[in-house]
Order: sequence, then structure tokens, then C-alpha cells
Amino acid sequence: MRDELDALVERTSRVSDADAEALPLRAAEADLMEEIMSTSVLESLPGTEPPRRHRGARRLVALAGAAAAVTAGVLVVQPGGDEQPAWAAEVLEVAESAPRLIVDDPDWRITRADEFGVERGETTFSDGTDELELSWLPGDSYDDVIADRHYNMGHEDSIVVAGHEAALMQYADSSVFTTVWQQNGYTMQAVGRTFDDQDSYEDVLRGLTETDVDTWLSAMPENVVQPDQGESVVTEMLDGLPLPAGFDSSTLAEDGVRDRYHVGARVAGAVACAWIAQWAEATETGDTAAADQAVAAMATSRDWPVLQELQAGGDYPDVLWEYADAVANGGLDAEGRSITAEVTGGDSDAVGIAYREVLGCS
Amino acid sequence: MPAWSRPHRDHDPASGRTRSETRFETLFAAESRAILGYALRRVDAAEDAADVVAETFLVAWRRIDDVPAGSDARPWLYGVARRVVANQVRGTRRRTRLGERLRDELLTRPDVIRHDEDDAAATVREAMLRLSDDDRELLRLTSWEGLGPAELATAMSVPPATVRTRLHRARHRLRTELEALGWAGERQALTGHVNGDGRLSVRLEEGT
Repeated sequence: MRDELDALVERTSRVSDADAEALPLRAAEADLMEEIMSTSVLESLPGTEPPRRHRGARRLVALAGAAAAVTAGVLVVQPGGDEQPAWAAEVLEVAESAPRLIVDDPDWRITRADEFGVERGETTFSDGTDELELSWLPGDSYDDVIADRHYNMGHEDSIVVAGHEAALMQYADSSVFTTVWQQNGYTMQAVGRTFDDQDSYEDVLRGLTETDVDTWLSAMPENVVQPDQGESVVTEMLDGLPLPAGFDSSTLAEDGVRDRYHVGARVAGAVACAWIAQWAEATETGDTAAADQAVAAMATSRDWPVLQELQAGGDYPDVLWEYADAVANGGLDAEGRSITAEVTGGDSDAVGIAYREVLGCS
Repeated sequence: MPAWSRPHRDHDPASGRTRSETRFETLFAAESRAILGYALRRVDAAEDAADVVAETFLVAWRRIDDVPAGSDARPWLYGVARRVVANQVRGTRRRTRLGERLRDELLTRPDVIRHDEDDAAATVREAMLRLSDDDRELLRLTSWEGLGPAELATAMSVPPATVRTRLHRARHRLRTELEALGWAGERQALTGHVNGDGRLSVRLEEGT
């Protein structure tokens, strides 16, 4: 998945793999290996713990789409026409834990929500011109964030944000401002990259106000597909897509409310998953006709209207098309890896089959 | 009982090594240069890379039963090395007696790490420094170490789907910073499509 941006970052690498490989260090490395193997196995090094186990990683992955959709302010309308929204449990858990900040100014609203979790999350506020990225991070990351922000810094001020002392930093020769503070056990960070000057950035920061659960969740963006629209939207999105035999679309509109992007990703993903599953099974059993049918169906994916719509909102279509190419390439992705290989999660836990995890197959 | 405290009783009389020792030897032989490369790309002085290699493999030795098999081992080791480097950056580096010879060897090669870079690389580096540590490391692991999303997830210790969202955001921010720095030489490249993001990209405004 290398692209132009990767190539740019590559230019900042000061040592190549070939440089490292060419160093005549075999004897020193052999010594080191023996030294390590002669040490006790009973001592651990502070701060170097290996990747944590993510218990329930599979469930997390499976729920990831829903969890992200939840960031769009997913609500479940109470049966019986109750006006009062009942927030989905996952949303409530986040809202009851994270600092619930909004910009107390009618011109400013939340335009985007990302990675909406108890441990960390991010919202973007905008007035149509400027943007403020607000994120909540684990509380113990405060010192690291502050230290990290001191790279290349122009100056530092202090400011009070939502009643909390905060450090405001600006990079040298830039209009990028970062403010970091601690709140409710979290490390909070507010980044502004679009402001003309510090005063206008500070004005927005001073407008940040902690609010109640309902107000905060209601402030999340509203362009969601309501439950009563679900089936018709799914039907509309399936238009123009080749469907494999036995494809069941009846569950695609379930699970409450989602924004169109996620409904579209779910619909297109379900179709792609079904075709790739057919391809995988047919390849396994030697059913050439069924495999060819799946390859041909996936080859039409660049023309699927729903994916063309989604392109403006994110990169799900690009990812799906990579898998269409992989199917046509005998099941190998651009990096030469099998799309049906098992992949691992946050540590060595196996979480599933590569294409199913990436495309979010249910 | 933690895995690393289990006695290594599975002795193989043929090789004179325990199974764990044999596994560690294989792991070290296969991955030590990758970790050295990782370390050299992230420290300012070459000899400091020796400590990163030594501490990373010390953890691997103590947790050998937890090290994933096959190609999954390398991103796991990157995850450990990332924490070792972070410790160094925080100034709490613990210089062990391990790897002294490797350190001495690297001390004689200060030119291994190139510090003369062209203007374009300097601009990208400056833009990278304005990102958060996590964003920066995601971009580096992708570009420098060539990791894919599943491997990034292992190295960064987050679920695979989450890492895609973070990578997407990191790339967006890098583009923004590059443009803020007046990047013009390869504008076309910067506005090209970006691969690698998954279904978790929540772009609500544009999505409808």
C-alpha cells in the first residue's frame, strides 16, 4: 500500500535497511545474543512491556464499524414514539466517561467524530472556516504529549480551558497551535491549524464548555440514516451491484442509525465479502466457473454507484478495490500477501481472515 | 505464573539447547538486523541503537513464549522497540551491561546515520515533527518499516480496524502540515489518492 505520501516520509529516513544489513557486526551481535540468553528470565524491564493483550479483539474488530458509526451520534428511537432519544449503550459508556466538551457558540458545531472510545477519541469542531481538533487521550500520556509537543516549538503560554489550566504551544514559524490539559483523568489536546492568529484560536478555546450527556451526544453530526429509512436506503445502495446467489440483504438495515457513509460501506462490503467468500471456497474446491464468476463480479466494483458516492467521504472504496484487484491476482494483495491468510490483533491473538477483517465482513 | 518465569525444562539433548533457547536464537538471527535498522532510524547517535537492540531482545528472551511465530514476530518486536525508544526519549534510559560490544562497534561508525538531507526531506521532517508521536510513528512504521495495517496494529498495540483510522488521520495531518510549510514541489503527489484507510473513516460532512 505504498503511495506518494509514503515515499515522502521515506525521504526522512536516515538509515536504510541495506545500510543496517551491511554493518560488520556479526561477532558483536553473537556476543549480545549469548549475554541475553545468560540472563535471568525473572526480571522485567519497566516501560518496555510488549504489546498488550487485547482480550476480545475479535469482538472489537467486529463491532468497530458500529462503534465508529456510533460516533455520528447513533441513537435508537424509543418505541412508541417517545421523543426522548435512548442512546446506544456503547455511546453512553463513552459519554459518561470522556470530558463532554462543545464550543459554546452557535456558529461552531461538531463536524466530524473519530475513534469514539472510552480510552481515546476525537472530534472536530468547525464554523465553516476554521477547525479545531479536540481529542481525549489516556491520562497517563500527559507528560509524553507535553514533551512531544516541545519539538520545534516557537513559544508557550498558559490558558484556562473549561476551567482547567492548560499549556498552549505554537510551533516556530507556523500557525499551528496545540493546547494540552488534564481533565477528568484524561489528557486533552486541542489543535488548531487554520487560525489567523493566537487570539482567534484562543477565542474558540475559551468557548469550550463541558456539558451533559444528552447535550453532548445531540451535538454530534446529524446526517445519519434514521431507522425507518434504513431499508429503502439499503435497497437504493444495492442498485447496480451484482449479487451472488443467495445473497441476503435483510440484515443490512438493522442496528439503529448510521451515517450514509457507514451504511454504504456496510452494503458494499457485504456484497464484496459474499463474492470473495465464493471465490475463496470455489478456489479451494476447484470450482473454476464459480471462481471466475466472483472475479468478474468484483471486477465491476469500480462502477458500483455506492462506492462512487463513498469516495468523497473516505477510503473504503479504495480498500475494497484493492481486494477486487487481489482476487483477480489469485488472492494476493499488492504486497504479495494472501487475502485469505489469518491475521493477528493487538498482540499475537488471531482475530480472523485478512479480507474479512479489512472489509468488515460480518 | 507469568509466562516468562516458567522454567525452561524442555531440554534437547541433541543440540544442548532448550527449545526456548533454540527459538530465541532463530528469532535473533532472523530479526536482529531489522530491529537494529529500526533503532538506527530513531536515535541520533548510532551507539544508542545498541541499547535499543539489547533491551528489545532482552524482553523477547524473557517473553519468548509470547513472541508470535513467523512473520508476526517482527511487528511484535517493533512494538517492544517502540517502547524502549520512548523510554530513551523520556530520559529514563537504562543502559544495561548488555550489548557493550555492539555499542562499541557502533560507536566507531558515527556516519551510519545520515544527518545531511536535502531541503525536501528537511521539510517533510519538519512537518512530521509537528504531528503527535503516535501519528509520526504510524507514518514511519508504514514508510520506513513497510508495515501493513495488521502489522501496524501489532506494533502499535491497537485493533487492526482502529489503526486504519489513525493512519488515515495521520496522513491527512501530514498533508496539512506540508501545505502549511509551503510545500509545492510535489503538490500533485500530495493531492493524489491515499490508500490504506478502512471503513472506519468517519467523514460525516462529505459522506452524504
